[in-house]
Amino acid sequence: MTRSSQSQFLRGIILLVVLAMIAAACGSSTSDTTAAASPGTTTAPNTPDTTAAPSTPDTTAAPSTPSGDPIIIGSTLALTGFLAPTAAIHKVAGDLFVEQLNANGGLLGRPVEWVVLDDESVPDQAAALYERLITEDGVDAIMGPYGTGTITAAMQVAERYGYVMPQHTGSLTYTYGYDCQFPAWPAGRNPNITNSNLVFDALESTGTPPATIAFVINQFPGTMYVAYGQPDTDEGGAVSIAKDRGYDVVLDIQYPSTTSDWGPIAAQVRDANPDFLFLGALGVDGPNLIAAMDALDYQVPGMFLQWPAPGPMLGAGPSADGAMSVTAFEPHPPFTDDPAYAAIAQAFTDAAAAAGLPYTAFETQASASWAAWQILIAGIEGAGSLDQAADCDYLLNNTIDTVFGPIDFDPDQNNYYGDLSYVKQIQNGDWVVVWPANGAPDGVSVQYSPGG
Amino acid sequence: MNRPTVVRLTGFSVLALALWFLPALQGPLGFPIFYLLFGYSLLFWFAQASSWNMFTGFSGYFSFGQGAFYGVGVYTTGVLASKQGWPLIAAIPVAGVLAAVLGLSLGFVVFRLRRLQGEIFALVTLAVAFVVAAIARVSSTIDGGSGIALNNVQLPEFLGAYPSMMFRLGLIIATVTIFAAATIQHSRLGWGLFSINDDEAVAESLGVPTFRHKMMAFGLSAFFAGLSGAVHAIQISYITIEDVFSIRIPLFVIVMSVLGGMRHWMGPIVGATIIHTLTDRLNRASDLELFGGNVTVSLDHLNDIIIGLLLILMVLAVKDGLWPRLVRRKWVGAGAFIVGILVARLWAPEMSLIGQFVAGELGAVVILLPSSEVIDRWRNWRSTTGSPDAPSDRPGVGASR
Repeated sequence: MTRSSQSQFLRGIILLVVLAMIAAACGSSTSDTTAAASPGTTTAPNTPDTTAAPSTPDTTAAPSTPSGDPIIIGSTLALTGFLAPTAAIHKVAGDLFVEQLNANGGLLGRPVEWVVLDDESVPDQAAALYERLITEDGVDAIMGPYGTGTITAAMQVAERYGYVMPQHTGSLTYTYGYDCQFPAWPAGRNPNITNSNLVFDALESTGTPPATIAFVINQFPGTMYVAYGQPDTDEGGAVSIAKDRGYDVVLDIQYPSTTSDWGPIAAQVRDANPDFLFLGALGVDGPNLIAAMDALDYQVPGMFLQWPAPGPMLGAGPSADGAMSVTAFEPHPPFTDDPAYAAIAQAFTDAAAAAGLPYTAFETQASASWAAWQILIAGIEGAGSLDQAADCDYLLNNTIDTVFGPIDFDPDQNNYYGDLSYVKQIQNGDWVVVWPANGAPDGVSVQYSPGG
Repeated sequence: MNRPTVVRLTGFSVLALALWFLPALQGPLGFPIFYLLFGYSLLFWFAQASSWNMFTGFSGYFSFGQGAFYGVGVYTTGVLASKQGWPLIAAIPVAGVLAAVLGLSLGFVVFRLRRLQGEIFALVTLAVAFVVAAIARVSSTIDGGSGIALNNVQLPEFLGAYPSMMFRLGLIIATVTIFAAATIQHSRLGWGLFSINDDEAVAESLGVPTFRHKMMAFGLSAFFAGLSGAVHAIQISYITIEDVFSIRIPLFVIVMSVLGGMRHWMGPIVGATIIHTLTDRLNRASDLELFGGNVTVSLDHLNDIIIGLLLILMVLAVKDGLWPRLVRRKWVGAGAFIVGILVARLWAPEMSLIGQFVAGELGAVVILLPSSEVIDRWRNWRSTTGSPDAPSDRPGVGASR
């Protein structure tokens, strides 16, 4: 290889690298933010039958102005990278929570400051940043990041230093053995079983369940877990449960998270022609596959998506109508029967609109974020100190009020507390909870027929 | 073992031994524990960039295979230490061997085919990373798409608590890797690789065993990348195909080596130091208030842009990397480094040690660029007017070696 050709090639590579880095920087909203001020965490649970005592600040008392040195809460979020669109929801929710908290007297009478670093959606970056937040910056408390990979990596750092770590959405529930991690996502310890049964129960509630079903699963750890169960065990997941229920599984394929060509997958679904499609989807996988199936002039009678970005599904056209997913909170009754949560949902919508988010509803992601903050503050307020062991003890031994209702962490279940999920469905151009019936608005039920 | 190698070995050993006891000084000196982990990260990049450079920098064969070798190392720890219950310390050498086997197998095929040179070689090595990733994805024995959490690995506790242990493991691997790179550079193998870099056909006609040299260098490069990856798996904590086999590692080692200089073993170390310290500090930089607070610039938003612009400047202005310039203008560089630190201390007395270091290195970089240019032009002008003692500015000649 001559030096001139090497030099030319080298310069080409460097320019590509530089351009990619600049494009990444310009194309992303790398806002690492410190938010301060305002409170009022209203703590009334949305479920009508709650009897738990509120563990978050009493908002009925006149708010006082927080004073003294700020309490620093550190965290990372995927402000850039492939998780950034959804992490932006958690950023807005966290900013709003801290703002309301400070406006209602702060925490232990002191103002709260939230330091957010960008983990770039990369687990080792998240781990390194949590090391720095704890050992160099000496933050008073931490909040978990967004994304299963970053959460799982950060949790080991938290455990190493004994920090309480509430986390929004980690999906590898079986690996979270750290006693002082507190999950906010109310999917239960075994979503591979409970989530799957919930979806199939919803279908069977129509009286016309599918006879054939196709599984198309993103090779993402969380979606693989729900579909196939915990690795190296025989407990199974959605696929085996479908078989046990007597459905004929006519297709079972996986696709890489980086898939961009959806035509071949759409063709396989069309050829299998299932009554129902179980799509272990993330982000915009759903709209992408629907567009590919539309291009083949094919539609499935019904489909379920694991964790889609909610906004893009609503923009996926008529073919997306009737699509289902799981949720824990939607901004409609009975979830908003409590005026406090109705106000929070509206405040989030306003803040999300101001931040330019494409989908502004206070739904699963935002509510999970809100619940994680409620858990963190409840521990500190309840223990009356920033001592991590005391905060952890308080959370383990008390009922905590959250946007999902009162919860009791169960160390035997990796601190999960039952599956509080609902099935939601796109009806009349918007998401609405359809199952179980106690989460659905009056007159709303599952719409599905194998005939389409 | 010849005398220069003995001297080099002694020097590396003394330096490594001194650094070995750094964790014990954390308490008495009162520096944050984070500095040990920051030090580990720096040592990790030293090892990765040096291992890449000992083949590509010296031979001129542009390899993107670093991602595959690093990935093999990471997943060896994942499979053996997490799934099979091996102690980490036993999994590390296996990781190096497996990565070397992959490198040698790849090299055995591609180095025999002359048409697989240049861009084609780069693409082949890039494809290998994709193939390895695909194998890991479909094999449930390796990953199967579920990722591996490394929270149950038996760590070598005799190396101290976690930060000390990581620092010492990183130190061992970085020291061995850099020593190997330095030894190769000054050996017959290194001279052979440089001759391949300059013109492989001529080198072959002069009797340089090009195939053997390339195989040796590629195998060693893969071995050290695998070792380093095996340790880094612990720092990642949770490994997934997408993250481990992303383009990040191969791109960063290229950038670091090019910035520091690819024809000397010190080049990757200089480049890694600048890139890693700068990105680390920019990522958490506070807002910069200018004009009495009327204008606020959020530095962290500019992280990639600043790094990118710096690289453009380097590529255009310093064709052979910073190290050769630093050698030629060491006193100017050292002075600028000290001035940079002093300015930082005056401007922001509370700035961390790492922040001050970044200010110093930026001072050195800024002062070295124009001053070297001016001096080069002056020397060139002198050489064209007949001065017999004008030094050569060719890469790989004189001080840069």
